[in-house]
Amino acid sequence: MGEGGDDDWFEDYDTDMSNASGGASDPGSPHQEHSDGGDSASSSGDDADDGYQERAAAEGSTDQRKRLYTVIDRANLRRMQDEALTQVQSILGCSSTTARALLIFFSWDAETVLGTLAERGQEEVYKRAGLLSQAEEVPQACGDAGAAAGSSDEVTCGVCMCEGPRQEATTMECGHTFCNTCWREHLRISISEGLSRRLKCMAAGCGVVCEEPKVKKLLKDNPPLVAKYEQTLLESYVDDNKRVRWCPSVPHCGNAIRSKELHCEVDCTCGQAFCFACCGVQHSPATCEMQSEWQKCVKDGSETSSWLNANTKPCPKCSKPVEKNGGCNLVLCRCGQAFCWLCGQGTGRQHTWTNIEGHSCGAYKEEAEARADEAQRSLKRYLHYLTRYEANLMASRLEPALRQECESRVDTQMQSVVTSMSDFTWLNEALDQLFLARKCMTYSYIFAYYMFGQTMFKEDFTPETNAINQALFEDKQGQLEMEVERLSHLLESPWPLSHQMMERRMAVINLAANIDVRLRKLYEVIECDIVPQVASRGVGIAPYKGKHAEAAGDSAQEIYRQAAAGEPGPSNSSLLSSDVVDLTAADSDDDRPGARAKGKGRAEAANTGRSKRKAGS
Amino acid sequence: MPMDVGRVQKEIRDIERDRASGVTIEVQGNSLQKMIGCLKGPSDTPFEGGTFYVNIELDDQYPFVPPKMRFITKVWHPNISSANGAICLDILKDQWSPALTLKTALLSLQALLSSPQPDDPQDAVVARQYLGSLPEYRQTAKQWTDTYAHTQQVVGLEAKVQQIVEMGFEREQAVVALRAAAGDENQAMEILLGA
Ligand SMILES: [Zn+2]
Ligand SMILES: [Zn+2]
Ligand SMILES: [Zn+2]
Ligand SMILES: [Zn+2]
Ligand SMILES: [Zn+2]
Ligand SMILES: [Zn+2]
Ligand SMILES: [Zn+2]
Repeated sequence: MGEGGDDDWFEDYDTDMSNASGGASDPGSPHQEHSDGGDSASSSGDDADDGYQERAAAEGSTDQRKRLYTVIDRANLRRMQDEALTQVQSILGCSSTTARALLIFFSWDAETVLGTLAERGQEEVYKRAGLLSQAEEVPQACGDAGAAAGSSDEVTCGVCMCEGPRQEATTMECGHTFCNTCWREHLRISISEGLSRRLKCMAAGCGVVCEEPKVKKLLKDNPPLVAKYEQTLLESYVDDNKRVRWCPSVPHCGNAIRSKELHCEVDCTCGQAFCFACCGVQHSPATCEMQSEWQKCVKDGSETSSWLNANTKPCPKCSKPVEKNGGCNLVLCRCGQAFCWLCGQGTGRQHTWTNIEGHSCGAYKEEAEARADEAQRSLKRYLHYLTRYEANLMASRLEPALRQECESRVDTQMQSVVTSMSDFTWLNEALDQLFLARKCMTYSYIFAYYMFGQTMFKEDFTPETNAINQALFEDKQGQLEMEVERLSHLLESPWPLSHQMMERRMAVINLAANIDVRLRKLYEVIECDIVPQVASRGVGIAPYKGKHAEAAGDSAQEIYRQAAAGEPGPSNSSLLSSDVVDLTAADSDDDRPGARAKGKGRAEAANTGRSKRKAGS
Repeated sequence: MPMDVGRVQKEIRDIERDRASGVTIEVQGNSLQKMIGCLKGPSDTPFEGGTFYVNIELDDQYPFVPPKMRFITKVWHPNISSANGAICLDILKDQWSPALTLKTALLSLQALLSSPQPDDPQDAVVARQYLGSLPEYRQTAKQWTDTYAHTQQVVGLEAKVQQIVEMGFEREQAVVALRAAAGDENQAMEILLGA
């Protein structure tokens, strides 16, 4: 069964989607608006319309990357649905109405349809899905539902109880005949009530689904209703399908996403980026639960209220929060009330450092102090993560500005007389990598906050394992952060002279590749070391989606390989043949300033990275 | 599309012709949208000998949507609310079919009286009793039938009918409403006013 299975056609389709946007590596394009490859394949819809299967078959093998999800536009929605229908139809030899009823009943999972049929038998499955089993006899036309068989020209409709000519009545697959007027009214009401997916026969106790061609024929004078019927049927492919969801864009772009994994980050072709599982913003490596907890926390300041808890106490008289600002435990409210900081009880004002006159609450002292300390500790911890989360979030928001800046630099470069470079794909790829890393960093702080906080996963780790996990994680996170700051700095700093661009390019490519490696290592720690320890909790983390980094990584390796082989320079590299390099300008110049500039840049980047880390820690 | 009056009239004629079925129907007002159904308690049940009245309301979309039915007569039954007479029966909900009729619906109610479905209860208290102690359930149901469903025992019915007729209602309507209300003239007025 697996061979003809659901996944096969899905993958075919999938490959097509990435092929359709193959422009990512097209040497002809100077720079790309949509550099995030397959997922922003705005042309995929049109491309896919003409013979996409053939192309997928021809080119599918060249694209090794397996995408986790597919963007389905309106046209392809119909196609994918039809393919599922055809598949079930051809295997069962049934009508499309039957195939659809079965698929809707089993959430559009063709394998479950066929599997359950094999397991439970046709009769039971068909009955539950509201279908007439082929083995089953056509049930008796119930009571006054009119003579189903017979050659009489007149039939009595069992709904309006009128006699009418046979040609103005319709008999459904189940053998039940009613007049067309009644059928139309029944269909109209059922469709308007949103029951299109399962329009049942009108006969009592029948429940068989009305055949689509007959429904359409009956409603041919009411095109809006037919449209609504067809729309609902079409949308059922998304609405009743566990693996497909609508893109949450507002206004809705019309696309649906089909994902292999629940935990997956999706970039719709409309530009909407979201988490497939919760339909909110992408938040890997944090889980949906962590993200929603964190957002609640940040929003209502519930953690800062624990600051209030740690640093203020309500006055027993006027209930306003009063801050303790001295060493002793007697606090004085503005209203004039004095009270004991430890127990909150109103007292007189006479006191020493250790004692309030006429008041003793020594028994509570330790506990109360411990509580205050605990609250303060957890607040400090929260602020630690919040600061870093926000810093990275802010940096992420600079993305459009930095992209624009880079674009205008490219434009300037292209117009200059001594142009040495025409392909700036590497730049876009580096920007993609940078902001992907920023995003991962941002949410890695949420992950760390909850994973090592001994609250959400209190039962799962001993303090010792927790400390080991945290150290492991923070090591990778720190290494990543350093590289990210370097690349960020390098991309922000002004471009060198034209003839030094090749070196800058390599530095950028290298850093981007390093970042990709660091990110992979960070995810490795998360996915292979930490998450398996809490496997029973079903912690779902969307995988790292560094796809462009792969290309950057490859070319960087290629460069290293050639450098090791003693080849003269990057300009001769076959890999770089796509770049139009002005050799005369580059070769005639002394290469030392370039090297210096590069070294300086690196040092600066490293410094920035360090100082930022210092400032942040 | 307004209600299929022709079909409803045919349904009523059919019920009138078929006296043997044990169910009757009485139209309230002249819109054919409100009526009172009447069914006999099935024999060999605690409802035997009782006469049960059912309030019926028809939607504009009838028969493509089910009729709304509710017991007026108080009934002790797992699928009928002892408080307001609401009925839990599949054919009055998603299992309704336009080919079903008021007669079949009333007959289904009669069948429901004979065979309660305590797994899908409307009245949890009754259902618990039914499942826990069947004799006790039978006794209570019988008591309720004797108290609320024996309209023959209504005393001074004629005087009350007269009273209602004087308020401008048809005699026939007044009788049905009073029977349905077990002789309570206030409840009868409520029924007549369609409350
Ligand atoms: Zn008809
Ligand atoms: Zn049928
Ligand atoms: Zn979208
Ligand atoms: Zn999520
Ligand atoms: Zn105060
Ligand atoms: Zn003091
Ligand atoms: Zn105290």
